[in-house]
Amino acid sequence: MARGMRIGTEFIAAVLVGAGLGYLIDLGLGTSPWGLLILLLMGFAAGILNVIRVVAEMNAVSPAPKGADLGPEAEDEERIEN
Amino acid sequence: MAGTDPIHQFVIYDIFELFTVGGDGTEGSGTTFAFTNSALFMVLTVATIALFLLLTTSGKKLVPTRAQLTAELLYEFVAGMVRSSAGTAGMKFFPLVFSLFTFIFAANMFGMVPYFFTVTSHIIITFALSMLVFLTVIIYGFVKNGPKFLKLFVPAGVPGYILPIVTPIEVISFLSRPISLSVRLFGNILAGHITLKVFTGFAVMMIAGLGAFGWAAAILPMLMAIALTGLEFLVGAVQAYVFAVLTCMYLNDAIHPSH
Repeated sequence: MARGMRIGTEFIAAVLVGAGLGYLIDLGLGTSPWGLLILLLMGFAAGILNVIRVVAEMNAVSPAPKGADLGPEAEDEERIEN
Repeated sequence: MAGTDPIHQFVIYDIFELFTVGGDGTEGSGTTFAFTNSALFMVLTVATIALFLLLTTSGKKLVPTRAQLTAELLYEFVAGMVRSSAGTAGMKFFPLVFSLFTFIFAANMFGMVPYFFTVTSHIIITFALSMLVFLTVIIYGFVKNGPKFLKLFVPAGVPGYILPIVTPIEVISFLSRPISLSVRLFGNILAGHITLKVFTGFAVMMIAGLGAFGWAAAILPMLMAIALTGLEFLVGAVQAYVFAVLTCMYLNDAIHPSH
């Protein structure tokens, strides 16, 4: 549960910060609603980035056991396409 | 119904007034600073930690007593955390991380005692703690690395034409750290204490409303409350640990800013 909370807050915090910054830029420059819209999307991207980092870090701490079935490898996917 | 309001435990009230800033001297003007129940429990938390560490380390025996061993384990635990996350250069921040960890841990444990106030259930407290970490990272990062600290926002190996897109995203990601750090601790503690109160409130309401049958039925929410109490002790410890580990990782960014 602690892990789930961690991932959730990382994502939401980035979206909130993006929206907040966009709102402030709009207030300052009078460019409503473009600052909010663009920075909200950027916050979304930053949230995804945060989540990817957190999960990568969690995977590094506890790697999958040896011989575990992790699905097809990248090379296998290519072979099917060709 | 009295006694079953799950939010009531988070009410802050003044114990005594300290001083007033501004205003014209009449009653109710200016900003009054008061010693609140929250402040009381912060003082208690710090006093408990200080007393514990002073008493347990006063002997300084080569073969430690049980109490001394507890303090040494605590030290080794936090020191190992700082070394593994921020490297040996991070050990100069050991006092900060140790204080944060022990403060949050002790405050969470204090919160588990019935009728006690939980300091970390208010976002302003956790936000202040995370801003302390955030500002430490920024100030130390710029003092130590100068403008090179800004490399943090420019990931290595990214082609130049993508940088205008990637850099703002990195900046937002960086700015979101104190928010996620504070909201995580506050949310976990607040939600846990509310759930605990709601389940025990069920038992009280059943007994008051259903009589003899209520006493039998109240066993179910009470069992849940017992299980949740155990969970809350775990959450309190884990969140203190998570806060300290993330502090170390953010400090690591300040010490070694390249990704």
